[in-house]
Amino acid sequence: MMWSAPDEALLAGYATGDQDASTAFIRRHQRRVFGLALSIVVDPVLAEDVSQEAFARAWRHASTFDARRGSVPAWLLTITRNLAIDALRLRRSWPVDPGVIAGLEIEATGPGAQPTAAAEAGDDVAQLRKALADLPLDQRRALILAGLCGRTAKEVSESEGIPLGTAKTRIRTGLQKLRISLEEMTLNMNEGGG
Amino acid sequence: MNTLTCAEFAALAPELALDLLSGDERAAALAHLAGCRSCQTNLDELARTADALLLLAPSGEPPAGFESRVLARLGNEEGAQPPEKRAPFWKPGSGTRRRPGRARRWIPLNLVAALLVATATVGVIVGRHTARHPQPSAIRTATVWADNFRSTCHIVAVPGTDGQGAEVLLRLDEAAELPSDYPVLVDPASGGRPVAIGRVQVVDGHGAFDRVVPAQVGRIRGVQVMEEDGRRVRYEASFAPV
Repeated sequence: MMWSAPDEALLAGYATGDQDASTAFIRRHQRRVFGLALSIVVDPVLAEDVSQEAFARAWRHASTFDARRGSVPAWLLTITRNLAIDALRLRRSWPVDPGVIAGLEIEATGPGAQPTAAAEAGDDVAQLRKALADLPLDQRRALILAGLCGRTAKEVSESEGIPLGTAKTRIRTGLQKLRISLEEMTLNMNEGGG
Repeated sequence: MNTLTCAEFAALAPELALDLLSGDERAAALAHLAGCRSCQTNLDELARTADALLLLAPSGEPPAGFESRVLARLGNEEGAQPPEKRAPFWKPGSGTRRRPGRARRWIPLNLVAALLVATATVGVIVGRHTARHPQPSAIRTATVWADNFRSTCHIVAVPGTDGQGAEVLLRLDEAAELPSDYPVLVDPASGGRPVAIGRVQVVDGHGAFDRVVPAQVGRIRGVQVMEEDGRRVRYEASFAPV
């Protein structure tokens, strides 16, 4: 029963310290949390530190989660990303191969994708992946480097070998296009379903 | 401060949603945001899209025992008091990177407070540590501000790479580009006076500091960056003991 509970219900149980809910909550999200942390910091030890801290912060501040504003996974991953970036920025330079990061959306669905990753990818993720795939490659790379890896526009310009203004334009345009694409997809789905 | 037009804000909004803005641009964008509901809505939507990007991150199997270590850690923290009765986490200068869109969505009152306290010169962090926790997961991060939020100091304390002591790291992004040289102090959890561990130099508005101290992260109650005269606190992060 607990294992099929909605994310919000599990989070509520997690916040109260319920043992079963906490175990279920951690098991449901730990692979995503650790995977994101590892993608950003590369070092598995630091990635575990970041992941543990992310779960601790989610527990402390579960009452601030607002389901109307976003999903539990997105909220938890935002905490994870921010912790990872904070740790990485101050500890050492960026160790991530931009090519690896830029190919994340392909890895997640390609023939070599892990079954668990595919299983975790719901309709929302599929929509997002399609919208991202529709972006020009340069915008997609810049957006993933900035949005997923937390690189600043200056860092993107340096890693991509492009002027700062171009990096900013790619990030800005990419995010705006992605937003519009997702809105259109949602609208089309609603019309199709209605 | 609030000199941006809505069109100018719209040009900066994607970078603000992705938490890429810093310095004067960020301060100007925040000032505009505080008084413009339509731009807040626009930023919300962009931030939601930016959040969704994280769902594309690959999954990874955490090390064996991860779940148990998280539960043990929560068990240690739970001994203090329920989460809702703890000190508010999101104060000006909270331990997690602050992005206005996200903060407003999940903790509106605290973000409003952060914006309204624009006259504050020092942000104070109240985080938590797990002094009794035997695992190496003792990373502590904090972001604090000075100069009406125009200067930022990121503070991180992590276990030393050899398992001994703690590594204290700082990064400063300051509004003024004048060279500065600030004393850095660590506040021991055992009480007593803060201990000087070095100085951070700021050149062209940026400074970095990295020092290993002979204390576990859980034994560090806080980190202070003093003004150059050493008498006044410029940035301060406090990790409240459990």
